[in-house]
Amino acid sequence: MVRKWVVYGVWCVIWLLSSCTHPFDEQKDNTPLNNFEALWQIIDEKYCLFDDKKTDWNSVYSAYYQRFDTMKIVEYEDNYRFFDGLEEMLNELEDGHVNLYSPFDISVCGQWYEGYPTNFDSEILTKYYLKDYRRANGLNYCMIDGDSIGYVYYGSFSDGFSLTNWLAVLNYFAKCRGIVLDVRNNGGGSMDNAYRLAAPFFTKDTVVGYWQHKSGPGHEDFSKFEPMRMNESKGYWRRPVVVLCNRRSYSAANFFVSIMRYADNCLILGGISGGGGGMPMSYELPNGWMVRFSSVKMYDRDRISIEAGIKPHLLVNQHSEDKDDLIEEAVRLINSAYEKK
Amino acid sequence: MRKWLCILFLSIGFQSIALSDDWIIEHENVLSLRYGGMWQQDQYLSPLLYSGQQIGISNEWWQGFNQDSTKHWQHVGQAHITGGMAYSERMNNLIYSVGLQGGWGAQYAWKWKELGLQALVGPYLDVELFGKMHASNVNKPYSMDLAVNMCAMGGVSWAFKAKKTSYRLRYLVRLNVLGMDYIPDYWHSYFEMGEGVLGNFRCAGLWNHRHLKHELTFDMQFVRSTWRVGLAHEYLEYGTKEMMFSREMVSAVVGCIWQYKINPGKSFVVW
Repeated sequence: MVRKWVVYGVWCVIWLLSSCTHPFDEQKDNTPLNNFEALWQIIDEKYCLFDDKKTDWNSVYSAYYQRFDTMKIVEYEDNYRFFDGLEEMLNELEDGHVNLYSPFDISVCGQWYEGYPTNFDSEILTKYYLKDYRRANGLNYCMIDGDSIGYVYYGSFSDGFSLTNWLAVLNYFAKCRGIVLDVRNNGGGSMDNAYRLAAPFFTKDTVVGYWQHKSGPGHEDFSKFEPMRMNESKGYWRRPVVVLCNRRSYSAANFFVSIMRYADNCLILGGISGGGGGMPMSYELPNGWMVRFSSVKMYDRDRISIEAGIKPHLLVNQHSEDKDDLIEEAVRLINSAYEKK
Repeated sequence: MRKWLCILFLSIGFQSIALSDDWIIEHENVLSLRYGGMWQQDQYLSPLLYSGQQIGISNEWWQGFNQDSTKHWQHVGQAHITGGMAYSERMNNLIYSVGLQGGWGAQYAWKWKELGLQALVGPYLDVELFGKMHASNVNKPYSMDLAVNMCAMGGVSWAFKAKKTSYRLRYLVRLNVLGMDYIPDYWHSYFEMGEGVLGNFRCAGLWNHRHLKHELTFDMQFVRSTWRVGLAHEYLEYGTKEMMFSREMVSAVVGCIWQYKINPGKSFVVW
């Protein structure tokens, strides 16, 4: 009887062990071809903007396969060559959220802003407007136009600030006719900061956009539309606000510009924003390099992708060399609205 | 409360007694330090295998269900805290982890007094939360192993005397049988991890979740204290078609043992 149970026990252990598929054995070899294929597959399955980019990703595979199939990395310089090849492949997507990170370099795609007017001159800004300014964490602010208008420059959504900071700034502008909120050359950062910056300008609960995340490896596999909402603020700011943006207003800044279109008394002014309407995520290649890519697709309230950028209400370009034409136009509009009252 | 304060006080004083000649030890408490290597893979965070080191503190206790030394049932409780750091093979990236694990089980023990042998087997309820953070990931930095499992636990121990002191060699093994585990949605960033979180729990059993823990320990009684050294091994593997999660840890164990009797109905410890 005991022997029988021992046999059963041994049999069970063998069955258990044989059913183990040890994932540690499934590592891909670190060869150029495997890394190329892993990168191609990561983008193929996880990238969310093929529809916007109109890129034939299969033809990209065919075009680059040969180059990596025969490549052998024997010296360190070959790593640069390999990196540059992968960078070139990724830049086919023309997406600023797509980067390759290696220990020696980070790939950058600049195609999304090339050919657009800069509409921003930091020298003019510091010389004529932000001369004597205050700082509330990431928010740089001062009063302009004879202290009648508040001006805030926010250069990166990665620079943190609290709602307390922001309300203190608005309180400082309590006697102003309106404010100019400048997010030009803001390359993005945290979406939370975008929500926080927009919060005081919404007088009622508002759906400001939608997002969809990938739900499978197919290019069309997306979750259902999930709404993004702004909650009603408690009367923080009800006077005019003009948001300045340019093509370098990217990612979270682009998202901020998009949602500010639905705020009360708000006007978007400047050039078309930079896009970056795919929230990025990252993943690793077999060689340890990381790839960042757009993974969650964001839309405006009309369910139109914001990847291509947001057109301003009023298109204004910078021409002058001794003044900021965008700020001047914003000041004029606020004063005009004030006088009409 | 006074009872536990008393236990703590006496424990700190290393007033432990010898491994009992008599078979039943009413209460045994082991505090141990574990240090060793770890290998982990979390395909939600990365396709790569990470390896590194981990350190942990563990506390376990064993106690008979009642004072009757002829009874064979005893219960065991354990709590572990583990912290780990693991690097990718190329040392480019790093995953930090902090794990909490606790559980309780009841064991039936067969005793062969004359040989100093004891074999035990029984169920064990295991709860584990092992949080991980990938230092470089964008919008997807966190993951966790979260599971509640009913396990089968067994072991053998051999107590013997030599040169005026007592020793005990013990091997314990534990394997999950049935429970629940958490699988993050492969496509979710951490912004969405809270979305539909209940849907990320599933029934877990040996067919899709294997968690094996076993350890070999050697307890030595010195003049006024009892110490433990040992080796522990843990292997976890679970996942779906899209993602696999696994963790393996091998640890050296050093610990201190306190044994005492708790007198039911009285509020102090009898040594």
